[in-house]
Amino acid sequence: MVLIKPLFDDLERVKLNFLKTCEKLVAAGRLEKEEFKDIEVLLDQMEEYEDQEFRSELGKISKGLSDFLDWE
Amino acid sequence: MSSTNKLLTLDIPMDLDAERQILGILIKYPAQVDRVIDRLRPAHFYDLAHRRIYEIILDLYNKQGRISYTQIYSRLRNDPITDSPAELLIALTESFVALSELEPSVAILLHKEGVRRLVKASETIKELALDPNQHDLEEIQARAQEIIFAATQKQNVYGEEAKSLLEVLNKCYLNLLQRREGLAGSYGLSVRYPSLDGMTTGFKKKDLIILAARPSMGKTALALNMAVNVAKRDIPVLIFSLEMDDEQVGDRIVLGELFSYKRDGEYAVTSYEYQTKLSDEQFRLTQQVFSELYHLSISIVDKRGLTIPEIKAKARKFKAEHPDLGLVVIDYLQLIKPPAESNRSWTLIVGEMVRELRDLAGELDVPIILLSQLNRGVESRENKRPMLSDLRDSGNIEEFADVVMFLYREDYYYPELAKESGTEGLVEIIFAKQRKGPTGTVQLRFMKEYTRFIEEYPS
Repeated sequence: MVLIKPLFDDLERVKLNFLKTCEKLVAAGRLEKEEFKDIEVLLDQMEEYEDQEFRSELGKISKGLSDFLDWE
Repeated sequence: MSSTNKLLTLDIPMDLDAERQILGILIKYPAQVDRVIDRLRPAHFYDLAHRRIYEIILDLYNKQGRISYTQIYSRLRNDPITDSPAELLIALTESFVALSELEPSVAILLHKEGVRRLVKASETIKELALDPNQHDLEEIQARAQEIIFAATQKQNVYGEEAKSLLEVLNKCYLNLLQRREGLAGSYGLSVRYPSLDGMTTGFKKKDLIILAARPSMGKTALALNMAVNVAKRDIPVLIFSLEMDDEQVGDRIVLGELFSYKRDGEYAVTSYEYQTKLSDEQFRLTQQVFSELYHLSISIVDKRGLTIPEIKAKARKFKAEHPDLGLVVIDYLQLIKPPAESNRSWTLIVGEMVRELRDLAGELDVPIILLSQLNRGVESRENKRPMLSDLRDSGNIEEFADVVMFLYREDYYYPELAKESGTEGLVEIIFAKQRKGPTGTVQLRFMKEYTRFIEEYPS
């Protein structure tokens, strides 16, 4: 528990930073608003997916964004 | 440095770290929302963005029980309260503290917000007092008391803490034992009219009692008679007389007592004699009545055009000086000055005024008897006995009343019939509503000349 809770904060920080980056991509016209909304939903449910599954779901939303991330 | 300048240099009471810690904990441990929801309001957060996040947390928790940074981020993204929701939320994730920090942080927020309210109240009072358009000192004082009272009230979100049934039943059982043993205070406030006390088992503390009738039925007389009967047992009574001045009230009280003195079967002092010229013997007798009344703890506020805040302020002050205050009488509702600049309907305004007086009864922990006029609608019917619907025409008075009493005199409307049926001089006291007792009618005899009600015993 002691270990998990700080990790929770780290993970949430990563998600927020990721969303911040996505927002910049939307502003730059590199990501659609609809795609951004789907990403928000997907990130919110992230804990329900295995890594590969999540990557695949993200790829369905935005191929470019999925490739952009290094999941290994 | 002057004290004013010293005050200006002080920081506004707040603790942003404590605010962040509470939000961080609630997002991470949503179940903890239940522990704070009844004490912590959004206004306890000084930072407006923090306040908004707390509102979102409560909303998410109520709707789905689940809270996440991503959901809050989604809500905040289109909210003008912040330009950078991600940074704001990241700051929360960085203020990680143990769950045990929740209570101390909540205590800090409650304290800071309480102090902020006091500071704000003092600023408002200063503005009010220095406003060149405010001329009436008493009105300023009454308003200032209202402001301070509101600022020092505990601000629970969902009212009082829930009481366990055990706690409630303990109180009920104690009351039951006291009643069984006939201990004083186990019933409500007796007004020493057995038929009235029998209906009400005494007026209960915190109750608002409406005493309503058409003019000339004897509302003021009955209220004063009850007030004197209460005060004779060394229980302080406060009377707001918005129609009659203090001397008129005083004379009525004296007359009400004079009726009991008789000589050779005749009244020793008639109302006419009292108000014109008395013989030496009559004068000595009247002096005796005065001496009996001098010690009664009755206080009279006879200012016309009082507002509800003024009545509340005066009643609170009286209660502070007389903690054993037993009864408040207000004569009468329609003469209370309504709030200025209100575009609401008369019905709503009256309803609001009555509600405030009921709250005052609760706050002071005493029964309040509020006299009320009835409109002419009563007289357009063949049966002129007032009904609850007669009150509805003048606002939702009935809704906020714990007891509604109407007065009806048959000899006023049908003198011949009253003479034939032997109801001359009798007044029906109609209990149209009693939250804690039965409804029904009792009768008292009204000695109009002495403005005195007496118990009517069957011959």
